[in-house]
Amino acid sequence: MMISTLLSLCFALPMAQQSESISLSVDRLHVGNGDVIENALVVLENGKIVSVIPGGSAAGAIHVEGAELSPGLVDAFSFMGVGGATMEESRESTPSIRLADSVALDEPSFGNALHEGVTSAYLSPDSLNVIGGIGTVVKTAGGVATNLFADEGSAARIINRDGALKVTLGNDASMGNFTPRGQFTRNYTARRPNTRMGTVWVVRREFYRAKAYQKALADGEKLYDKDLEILVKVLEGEIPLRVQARRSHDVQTALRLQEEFGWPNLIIEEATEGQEAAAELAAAGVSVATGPAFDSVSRAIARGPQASELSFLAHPPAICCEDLHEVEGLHSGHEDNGLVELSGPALDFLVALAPRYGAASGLNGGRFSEGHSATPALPALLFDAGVGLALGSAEAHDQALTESSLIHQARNAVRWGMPEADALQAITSRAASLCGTADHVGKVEVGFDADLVLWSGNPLASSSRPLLVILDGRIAVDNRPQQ
Amino acid sequence: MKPNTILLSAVSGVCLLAAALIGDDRQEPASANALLLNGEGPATAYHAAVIHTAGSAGAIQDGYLVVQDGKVAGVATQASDLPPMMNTVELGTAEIIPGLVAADTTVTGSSGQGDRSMAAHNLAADSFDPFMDTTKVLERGITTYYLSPDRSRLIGGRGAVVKAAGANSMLEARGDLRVNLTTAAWNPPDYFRPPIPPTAENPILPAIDQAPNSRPGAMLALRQAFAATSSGAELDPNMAGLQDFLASDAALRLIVDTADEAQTAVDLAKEWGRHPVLAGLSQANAAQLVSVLQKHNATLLFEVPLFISMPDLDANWQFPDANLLGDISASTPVALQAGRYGRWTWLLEAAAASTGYGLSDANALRGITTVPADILGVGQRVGRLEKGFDADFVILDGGPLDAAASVQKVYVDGKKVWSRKGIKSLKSDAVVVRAGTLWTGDGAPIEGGVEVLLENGRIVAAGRTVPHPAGARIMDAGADAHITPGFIDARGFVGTNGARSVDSRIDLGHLADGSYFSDMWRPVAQSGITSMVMGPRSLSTKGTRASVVKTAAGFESGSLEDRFVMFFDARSSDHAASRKALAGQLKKGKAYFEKWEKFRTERAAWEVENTEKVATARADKEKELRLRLAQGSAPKVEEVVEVEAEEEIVEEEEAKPVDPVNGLWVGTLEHEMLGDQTIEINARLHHEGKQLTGIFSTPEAPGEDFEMEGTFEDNTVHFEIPTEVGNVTIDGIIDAPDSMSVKIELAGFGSADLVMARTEVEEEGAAPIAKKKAKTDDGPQAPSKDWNLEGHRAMFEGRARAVVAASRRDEIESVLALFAEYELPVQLMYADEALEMAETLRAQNVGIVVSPNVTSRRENVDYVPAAELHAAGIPIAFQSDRTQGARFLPQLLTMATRYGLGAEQALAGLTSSTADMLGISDRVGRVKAGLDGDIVIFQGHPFDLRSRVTHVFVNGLEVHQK
Amino acid sequence: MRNATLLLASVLLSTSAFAQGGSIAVRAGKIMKADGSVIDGGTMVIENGRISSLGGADLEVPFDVILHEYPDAVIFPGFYEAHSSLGMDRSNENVAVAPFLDVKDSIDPVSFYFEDELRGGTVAIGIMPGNTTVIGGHGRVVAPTGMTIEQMTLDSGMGMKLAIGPKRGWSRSTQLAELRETFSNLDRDLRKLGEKLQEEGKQEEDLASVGDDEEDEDTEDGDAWDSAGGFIRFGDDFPGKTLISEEDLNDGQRGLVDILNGDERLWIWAPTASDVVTTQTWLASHDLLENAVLVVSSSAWKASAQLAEMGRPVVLSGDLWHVERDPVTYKEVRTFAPAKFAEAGVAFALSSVEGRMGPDRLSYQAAMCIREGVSREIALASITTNPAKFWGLEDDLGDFKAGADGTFVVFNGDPLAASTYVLEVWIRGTKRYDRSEDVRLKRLEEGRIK
Repeated sequence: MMISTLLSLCFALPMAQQSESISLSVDRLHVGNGDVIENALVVLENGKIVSVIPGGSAAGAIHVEGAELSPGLVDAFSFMGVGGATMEESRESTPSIRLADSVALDEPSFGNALHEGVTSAYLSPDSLNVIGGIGTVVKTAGGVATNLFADEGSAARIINRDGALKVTLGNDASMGNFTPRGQFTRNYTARRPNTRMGTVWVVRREFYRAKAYQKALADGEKLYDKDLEILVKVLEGEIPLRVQARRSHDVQTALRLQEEFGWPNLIIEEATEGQEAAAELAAAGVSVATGPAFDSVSRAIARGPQASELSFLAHPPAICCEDLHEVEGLHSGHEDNGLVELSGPALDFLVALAPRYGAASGLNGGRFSEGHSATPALPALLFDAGVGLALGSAEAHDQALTESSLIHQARNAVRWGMPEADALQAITSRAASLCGTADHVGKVEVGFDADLVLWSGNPLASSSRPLLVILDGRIAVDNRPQQ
Repeated sequence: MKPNTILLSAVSGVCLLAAALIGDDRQEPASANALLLNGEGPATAYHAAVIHTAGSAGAIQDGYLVVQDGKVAGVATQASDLPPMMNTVELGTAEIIPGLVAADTTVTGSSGQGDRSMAAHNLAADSFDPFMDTTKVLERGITTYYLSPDRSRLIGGRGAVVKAAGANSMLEARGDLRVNLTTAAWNPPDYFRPPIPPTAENPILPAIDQAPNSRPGAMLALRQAFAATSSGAELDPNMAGLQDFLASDAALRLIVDTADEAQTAVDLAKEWGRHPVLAGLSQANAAQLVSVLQKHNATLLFEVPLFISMPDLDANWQFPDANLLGDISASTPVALQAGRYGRWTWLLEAAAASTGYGLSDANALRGITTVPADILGVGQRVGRLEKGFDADFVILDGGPLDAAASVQKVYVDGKKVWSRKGIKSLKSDAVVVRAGTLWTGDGAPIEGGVEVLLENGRIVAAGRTVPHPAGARIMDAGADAHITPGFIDARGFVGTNGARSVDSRIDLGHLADGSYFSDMWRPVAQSGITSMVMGPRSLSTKGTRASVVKTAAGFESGSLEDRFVMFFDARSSDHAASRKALAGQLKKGKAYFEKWEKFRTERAAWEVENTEKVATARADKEKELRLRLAQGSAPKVEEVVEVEAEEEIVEEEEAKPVDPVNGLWVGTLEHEMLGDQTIEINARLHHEGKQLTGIFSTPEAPGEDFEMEGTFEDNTVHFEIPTEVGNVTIDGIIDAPDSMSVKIELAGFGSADLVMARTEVEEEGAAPIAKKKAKTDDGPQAPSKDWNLEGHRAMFEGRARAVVAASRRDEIESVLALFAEYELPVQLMYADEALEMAETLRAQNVGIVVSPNVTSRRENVDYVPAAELHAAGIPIAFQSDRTQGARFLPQLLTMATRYGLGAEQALAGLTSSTADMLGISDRVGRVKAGLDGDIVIFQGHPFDLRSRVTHVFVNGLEVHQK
Repeated sequence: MRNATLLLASVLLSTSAFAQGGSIAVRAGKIMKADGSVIDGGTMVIENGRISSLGGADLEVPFDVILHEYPDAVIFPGFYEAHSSLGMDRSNENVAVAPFLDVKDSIDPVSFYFEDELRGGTVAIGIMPGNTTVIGGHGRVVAPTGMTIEQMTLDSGMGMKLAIGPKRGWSRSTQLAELRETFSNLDRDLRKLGEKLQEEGKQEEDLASVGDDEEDEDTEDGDAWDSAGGFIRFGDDFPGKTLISEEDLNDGQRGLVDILNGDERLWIWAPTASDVVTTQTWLASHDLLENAVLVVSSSAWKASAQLAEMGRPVVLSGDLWHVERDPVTYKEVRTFAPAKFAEAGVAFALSSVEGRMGPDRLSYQAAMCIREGVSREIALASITTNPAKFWGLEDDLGDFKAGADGTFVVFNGDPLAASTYVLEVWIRGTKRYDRSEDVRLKRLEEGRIK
């Protein structure tokens, strides 16, 4: 079969799919702006949606009984392709660093996201620095393999190079740092700040410098400082500012700073305890991109890498197992034939040995330690308080579990009292507007990118799965039942 | 449907047919001759170069193994013996051996389970997992293996015997009884079973302290047990288990460590009237052992010492005597297994190694087939290739004891259960380079046709003719090609990028790891410079440490491990001060070095006298841990770690280097035929030497993965599938680490290009689980490292050579005096006025690393100072003193030859004499057997502006033009 | 005889717990039965805690019962947790063989576990001793509500816990050896006991009889041997077997005898595929196949064939996915166990105990099954009727039918939908949970955690 497989692999299959345009006729269409159209025909051409006909249908159109169509999901806040390695940690403030230049667009997490219906996502720089650089908005698949970093355009993965500037308040940026002492200053942790105060101080320092710089420029001085250039853009609202604030008082700090510097375009990330500052947020008209819902799964994720990710645990040499066997928590898969499963203290220990995993999760606690009064009802509460809201998955997509996917966040939000229509918008159109791509992503409307998900049922039901994921008009995932 | 679609489907149809014809080798066999074959089913003959029956027939050259109904129907010596129309599988040069039998395994039966010291009623068969994936067993040629009961209890229980494949795989559920007489079985946990409910007649008694705590204790316990079984008194269940055993004819497996334990063991066996099988003996005194074994007809299950990596064995562990097995096998059957520091699946290796202890080849093979089969009581079914035995056999691509031979196919009950598909091979790839002239690095060249053999990264032979190993690549560079040693740049900065200074804690050597794949290094390597002394740019009296690195090395071979060059700067306006400073450095260095020496000697002494103590202490600790675990209370993590750290040093050493190709590659295929469509292709590549396996898949066709065999050579990946309509080929070139540009040729139906990137590197073996904790003991502790002085220490330990920059005569003199005082060899750098004191330098055999400006001008005449130095008999070395610029050094010298520098001198200065000066001539600098495979091939004379470098080999690997 | 008393006791207790005020009628937008079939605007009448009639909106309601109306809610039988070892302080004795234990002495009625289950719409839980044991003791079926264990108990005769999968720190051989040892010990003790009793019996005979004793003895013995009576009803005969009565045995022995007599339903922890095979042979050798319920982990899917062949109930505890690596290709292979069981025709129940979504999401486990292609009927059965069947309580629990317990849960939507939640839980005609009075939930919802 080898050769026929090869050929079909190379040509035959796509032949079957290939066609200038795809049209779907669906029982229910979730437009993404809250509206639902029963029986609609959607036609795609060259990566765009060319027509949406209510009640329409056409011969040869893709149709699955009972299936419902939604826009491709938009992840308003994620760490896909981001890790310690993508971060410059030599300084605590690196505004001019662009994630777009270093993000690993081939990480499996994108695949995981795609298979759960996520077609575009805002990638945030890791929260290791106080001012962490500029996040970017990408499609979760497509692009030209040879040039993943091609600039905006249908062929490219990156659809908004300057998503927002990342500022971190709270633990992440200061955790593990220590004041340079003696000569061992080559370690990235040998830097300031190491308190919350210090963190805020750094933000102030930088933005006062930026203001001065702005003024100087206005006075016609000839200056160039790439970092300050960015901050000025932020002050002028050209680039949105995203502040990761988890504890409620961090949120309030962020709002104070906004008054101080008049950030025109502020977004709060995660806001794990945001419900306690909901009123202020609403009053200030600041939008929030939440992190993963605080249920058992995302707790587990926040706890950091699991055994499955420490790949070397999968194949320890057979010789070890006999000895491992006596240790609590090391249970060999099939007695001693070389495969070992870990649990209990041994696993904890090994997890503690695991490489730094990205500050937002895992080893340095991050969200885990800052969620004292976290509640799964957060999105609902913010929504009720009238806070502009989009849902994000943070690093959840690093795992191939539907329980840790973006759609799960929405389902959870609904379960805890958010209206279905709004929950769906929070992962489509509203998310897109936080990403600055609202003009061509996040809705099923003529002229929008042909990013669509065909669900086996109501997108917000646990028992539904994506049957089709269409990205830029191409079928990226096909789980349709064979008949 | 577009025309090319039709075309393609047609093609795929044809190819489908082709595929059916290629590929599997078992066609429908013809009916068999009743004379030779009395079975009903179809019979097949396997025609191999040698068939090792391991039975009475011995090894049969060019024979036919006939299989019918899953049994061996016989072995024919010539085709005429076969019944007519016999379906025959031609195996060419391959050899056939019986399926191997593993007499001891770690599949089951971990140590110290349960709380009974004697558990004769424990059945290893209960732990049998019929769903276990036995790939890793089969790929080693093992078809039958033993399941062990508890390994470290006095009586562990009854073993079992199973097949690695097949329907009813359990051969023997109640096998031999495992008795462990070694110290491992000592100090079992107390045995406590409170009566439920306790009553007057059976109250709660204190926990029973179980034997053994000593060897007499062990014997006593066993004798009591034996007595109990025969006393007719009512037995507790595991004593009943012992009774079953004694009633059966199963063997008695006795685990012993030393010859006197062996003595005790056979005594016991005699009392019980059992056939003793002695296992675990790896370091016994031969004479004693032989007598022991001869007295009682025992069988020896010998642990051949094979090591996965260095275990920390105590000082009195020793290898067995060279003729140990020779003496024993004369009277006693010997079964073989890999010792406890190897893997139990290493049977072929064990057999090969056993010949080193005096075992004959024939016995070595029996030691992993018939003998273990007999021990396990299945000797009438498996272990031999004789009429009536199970058709379990293994096809090797060489002799069973030939280290290079590897298992190709494995059959159980006549069915193929595993085949290699090019997954693994032990063959290495060798290159023979032919050329007209060979510059060895010393003196005049050898002319008129020469050959150099590179293998495993080394120069194996060089001369007029060299051996051509099987499968070696012959590279004929032509008659006017010149071969020279790889050039050495005595000072360059490629890896350090010309940094002025580098943290002294960093081992610069690693900066060159993977240089082969680096665009930064390639140009330098291609210029012919294969080695470079690489350090920070700045010089100082404090001294800077430089490493000797390779310009095109794999990920682990970047540097000459632990070889350094210390650069000092003695030039200064204030001569006295600089001299003082230099003296101070040497003084400090010396003191530091002595501190370490002291520690080393003390430590060594201490280790010797403490190993015993440490061992027992560790044993106690583990015991206590086990006890606690048996009672279900978790140990604290630190404890766990300690035990791991101690028992798994193995794993640290296991950490493998990153391989250039192994791993998962992904890419997206685009092609005009596909229009807008793209196809994501995933390829799981794995190579062993040249053999490459690819497992291809695509999201487009989930589950439709398929596997192909190809070749991997010099970073080019090649797959080829012959079809009747032409070849489908896939060619990839790894042009940067983790990136490969691929071309797919579709049998002339068009081709497609794509770039694939490696998304995950294959985990081979294991990475270290736990960083080994520095064990603090009451012995002498290592002094704290002073990184700034590590280089000095290396210098005193002879791992580093000193090179001192000095220009004026007085500077040179004081340097020489200083180093003479510390009896350290020293080389000079620059040394403008060296010529004036040539005698002294010659006398003290001091060489000079000349300034990068090879030619200079004197009285309006260009001249080469180096040439004059050489003329004066002073060894010279050349340095580039550049980063990328290093690649111009050879050409610079070619220029210099126009101004009086002899070709030999120039070459020596770039190769041999530099190597000698820097004390690395045991690795590089000459074309000589045993040295690194670094050679440069010129078209034409190496120092002729008309000739150019055509090929460069570093560590035996060719550096390709990009 | 002992079982009879137990049964009686449980009945008394349970009625005492749930009888009062158990007469109501409910009318709802939808009444969904366990098989997913829906009665729109259905009505159900419950009298004295049991369903007396079920029908459409027009069903006539007796004048003396209060009618509760839920116009836009869905009424469903609720979820059933077939096997769980939570809600106890410690789930296992460190004595390996403890047939004399009973979870009733360990269950903590006010533990959060039961609260969570109730909040999630679970109406009955089979509580069993934990898995690190050989013979773990008796379990019982409880409702996740009540202030005392008596109030919670629905059935005290759930059965006995056995483990083939090794106890922590043991190998599988040690486990099996321990099991064999236990029963051979029992056999030995019984034979001893038999002889002793016969001795005593004979002495009495001697006192009574005159003349040719010997024949008497023979006949005596003969009768004793071939008579099928007696408390011990298994194994081959031995002297005095019939003389042994329940009172002669201690708790431990009694438990074991109950097992071999086939009076106990056996809940056997057999996590891996190989454990399943071992279990099969062990059960066959003791002729106990009919009494077994296997509690497995997802890796047991490899033994689906064997499970189907045994035809015994299976409880899948823990994660539904089985993940392993192909030793050659290093590919991660993920298998969805319930789908495999469904294919093979194995009757299984799900458990939320170690499920991904925590103890209150049995519904989620079922939803996952549907997502992965298991039919809705099977998925629903696995958390309703199947557990009830496995407990032998299918007449009382698991579904709406006349005569069954008047137990139901009021949802605000499709019970399996992620977004729906529980409004009320009624057990045997009494309201046991009301979302509007769920203080802890409120605090979460309002975000007042501290």
